[in-house]
Amino acid sequence: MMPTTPVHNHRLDQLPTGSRAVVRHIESNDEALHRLMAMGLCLGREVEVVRHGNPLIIRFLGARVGISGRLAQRILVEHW
Amino acid sequence: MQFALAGNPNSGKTTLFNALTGLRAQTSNYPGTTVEHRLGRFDLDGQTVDLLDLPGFYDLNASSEDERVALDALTNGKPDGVIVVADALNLNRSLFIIGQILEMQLPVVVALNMVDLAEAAGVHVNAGTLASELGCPVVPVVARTGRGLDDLRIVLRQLEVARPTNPCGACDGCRFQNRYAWADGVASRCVQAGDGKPNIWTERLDAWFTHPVFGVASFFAVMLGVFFLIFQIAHIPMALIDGLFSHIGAWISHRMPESDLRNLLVKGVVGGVGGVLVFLPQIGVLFFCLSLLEDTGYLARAAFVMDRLMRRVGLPGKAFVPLLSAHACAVPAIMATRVIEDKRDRLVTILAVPLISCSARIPVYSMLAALLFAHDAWKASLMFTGAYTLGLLAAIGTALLLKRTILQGETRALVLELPSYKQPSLRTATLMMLDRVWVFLRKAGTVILFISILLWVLATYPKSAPPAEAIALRQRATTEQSGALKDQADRLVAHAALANSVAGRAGRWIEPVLRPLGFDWQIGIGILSSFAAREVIVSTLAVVYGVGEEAAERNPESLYDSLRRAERSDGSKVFTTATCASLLVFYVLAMQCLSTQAITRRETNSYKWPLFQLAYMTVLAYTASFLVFQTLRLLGTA
Repeated sequence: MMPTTPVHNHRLDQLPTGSRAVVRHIESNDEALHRLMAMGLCLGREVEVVRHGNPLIIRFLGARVGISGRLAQRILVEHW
Repeated sequence: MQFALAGNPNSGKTTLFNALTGLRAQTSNYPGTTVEHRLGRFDLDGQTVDLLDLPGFYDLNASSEDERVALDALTNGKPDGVIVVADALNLNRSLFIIGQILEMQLPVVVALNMVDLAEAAGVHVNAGTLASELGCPVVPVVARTGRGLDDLRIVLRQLEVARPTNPCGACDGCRFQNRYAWADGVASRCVQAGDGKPNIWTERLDAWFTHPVFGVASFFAVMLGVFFLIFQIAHIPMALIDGLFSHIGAWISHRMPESDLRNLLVKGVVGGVGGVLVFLPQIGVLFFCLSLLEDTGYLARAAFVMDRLMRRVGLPGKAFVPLLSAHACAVPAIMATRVIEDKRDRLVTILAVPLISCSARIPVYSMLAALLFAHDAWKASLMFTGAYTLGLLAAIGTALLLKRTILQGETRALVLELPSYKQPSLRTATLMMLDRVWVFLRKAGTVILFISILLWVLATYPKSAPPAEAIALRQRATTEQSGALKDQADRLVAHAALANSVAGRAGRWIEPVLRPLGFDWQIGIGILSSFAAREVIVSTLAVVYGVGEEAAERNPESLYDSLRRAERSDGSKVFTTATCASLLVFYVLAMQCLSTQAITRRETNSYKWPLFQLAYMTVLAYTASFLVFQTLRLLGTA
């Protein structure tokens, strides 16, 4: 469900457990981020934080993926 | 005919490979890389077909070595067809690579795997619609039970280049975004989604297993269980192998007259083969357990929770399994580093692992504990703890140092899929176990056997006449009918033969180098002869100090007693506190294990790294022993 009034752009590592957001920007281009994008974390996709922390667990495209906090920092999301 | 098997990690690719080929598979390194690939065979209408298992990948962009290998095998390997394993529960992600493979103009069939789990979750994939969308056959299968495999074989007989109805054409803009838009489109036309509820068991188990505290605690509990199995279960076949080979040795000794050939057979060949085979139970048990743990999905959670702790050492979470397994044996531990994706991280782990105290060090520690603290179990336990701690700290220190110097670079950021928990396959685990055992035998076994025989030659030749004292004793033994005197004479002969051999001379030759560590030439022989396997020092010292190998094995106290009494030429004791402590530190830190070197050679695909390993561990052991001995000597315990 798309929100009518987006609240803020956040870094993915700042979101608490259970929050859902849409990917708006992925900074820089390293191998690990490419891997994430190949797994389906691209712009416009919905992502859910399953467990906040470092590393954290996110869910997108029906699969759970554990990622380092320093990768999550470079993913900007729109959260509502 | 050759087919390639491609798919995402966790798509059940390995299970499908095993289901199709079974025992007829061989693992080798892809030419010029350290990436393993498996080649299997199966029959198709009486024709033998090769099946190449590619590494699992999420993308075909050559950004990692695995991807490069997969890409190379698909483009330059020109397979006659590609079987792409797709996860029915996660079709979009599978479509991402299917789209890329379709564009290569190869004959393709999609094996839609885990349809049973998808149905249970209420997800229905219309294989017919998907087939017409992709322009290639789609066969629903369940690799774990074998369902659908016959249909798959039928399709393989007449495979053609795929002709998708709506090709992706994701060439401009963000290739990920465009291709996923295409995948979404295809999936939306073929998949009837379930209620969208995530797997409730996975949720519940993950709440525990990925918890920062309970998750780590569970991991240690699981690893403790695996160790228990390695020590308790592997112990039984290891004792059997040991027993069997000493029986064979005794049988040969009994049947053949005393000769060099007999000695070569008994000590060199039978001893060497036994020394190789004795590793197999530990390797087997470890990889059987790891395969089960990985198959259930648990291992990914373990890597996840350990990531935070390991990162401080500069290693990824996945490095923890090898570091822990190394307490049993460095050989399977180094083989287990394959799970570490980053080449540098993997190399650092391989180089650090041999410093961890393995079970082969226990006989050496026991001997030194008996010499140092014969009647004080507490101090002996503290010494053991100290030795293990020193090994672990040295391993961590080495990892930190390597990451800051020759293997610089940020630890690869964690990106790790946590698949749904599922029932593990005993078949996969068994095949994994056999595969690892076979790889060890083929790649390391031959080298170990060769060096064992070489070391036997060095400890036997040149031959020397038995000393006069021994001849006199033998004569007395015959006249007096005394078995004890004969044994004593045999011990003297064995001692003289070793002392005059190349190994004995080399021991004397390196004595000046070893003297600052508090070692004499006899300990020097022990160090040289245990180069291939460190525990050998115990039996060598038994020969050198005239106790006799068998007597020392029957009654270790007889060895310890004569070591305690051993004197240097100037009448001072050899095994002082300072010498024992120095020897202990040396054996904690020195390489002294040919099997480790052989497996490092195989896993790094180069001689450079095993040589480097040998060099830095020798320097480290020498320096540390030097410091310990000289410090203790100044304190007056020499």
